[in-house]
Amino acid sequence: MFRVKQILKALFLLILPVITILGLKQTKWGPVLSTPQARQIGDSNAKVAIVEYSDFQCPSCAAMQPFVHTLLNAYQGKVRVAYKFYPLTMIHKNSMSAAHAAQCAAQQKKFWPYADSLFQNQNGWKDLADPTTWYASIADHSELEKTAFEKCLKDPTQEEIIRRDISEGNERQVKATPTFFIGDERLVGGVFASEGAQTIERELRK
Amino acid sequence: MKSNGRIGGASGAAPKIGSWVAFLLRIFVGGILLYAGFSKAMGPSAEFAAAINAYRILPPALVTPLALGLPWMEMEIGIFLLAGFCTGWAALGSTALFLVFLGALGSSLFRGIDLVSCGCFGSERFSPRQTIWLDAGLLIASIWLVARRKKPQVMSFENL
Repeated sequence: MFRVKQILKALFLLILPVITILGLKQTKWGPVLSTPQARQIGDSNAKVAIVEYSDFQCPSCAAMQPFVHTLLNAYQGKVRVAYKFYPLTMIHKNSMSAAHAAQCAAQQKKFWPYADSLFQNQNGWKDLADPTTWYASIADHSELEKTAFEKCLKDPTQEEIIRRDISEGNERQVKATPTFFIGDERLVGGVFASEGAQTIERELRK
Repeated sequence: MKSNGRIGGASGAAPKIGSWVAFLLRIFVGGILLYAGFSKAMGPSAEFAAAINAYRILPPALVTPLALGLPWMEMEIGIFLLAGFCTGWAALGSTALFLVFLGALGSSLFRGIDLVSCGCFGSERFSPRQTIWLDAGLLIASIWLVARRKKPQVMSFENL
């Protein structure tokens, strides 16, 4: 009798956290809103959509960007990527201004070359008090129209677009960058490099 | 006369101060483990998988299973310690966990890996150096609880 009582107590303690977590855990995330065409890359009819929440000043995001292109090349016609701004402004002081500059490049349909260049040159601008010269120099390199780019950099309404992406990310429980959604699956940070291809394969089999 | 571990138990003997210290340590270690497991289990497991991956210790195939399983292990050990049920085994489990955590943190510092967060408490960011001190304290407390596993427990679910 004593032993049965002890076993029942042990079962109660084992089950208690399971019930609590199942009852409290948020299992549904907010919706992915449409992403402007300029911030998408890959075949628009591709079966698998990757949504990337990323911060231009985050080292891990810069490290993952080549893998994004590797996967796009490996799965040509099957995968497309949509970029969402998620600047971590609390820890990365230039992340918002970099996102703003990239949004200005998106206005001229040159988001991807500009974004890649921002990531590749991250060490050059990330600690500057005023990185505007760097942004302009990357704009030149990406063949952006200079006057329109400079005007856009001064336009505060562009940041509204960025804030919309941030709030969408918050609704989807994004807490770190880069966060990738491949279909319904979430991959964060360096895990994208090791598990991205397998996850795409799983989505393609669906 | 031997105490059965209850407060004001059948023997009538008051629990010794050591039993109350053990109780406080159970609350401390168990509470932290429960909180650590809970905060990770409540968030997406991919966040914790990214934190484990950043240590560059495990092969990729083991990262996701560990990210799914470890928070539950922490919560179960934590709740058993808090309840004072199978305290010896639970303390042995927490000793093993803290040894593994200290090994992982020490190895990352030794290899110069710049971890933004230890990944210990979900989205909260504790630096690896801060966490080493906390884990060392928790390890000592766990070892002490293992050492006195055969002594009577106060406020124990086992005695209900």
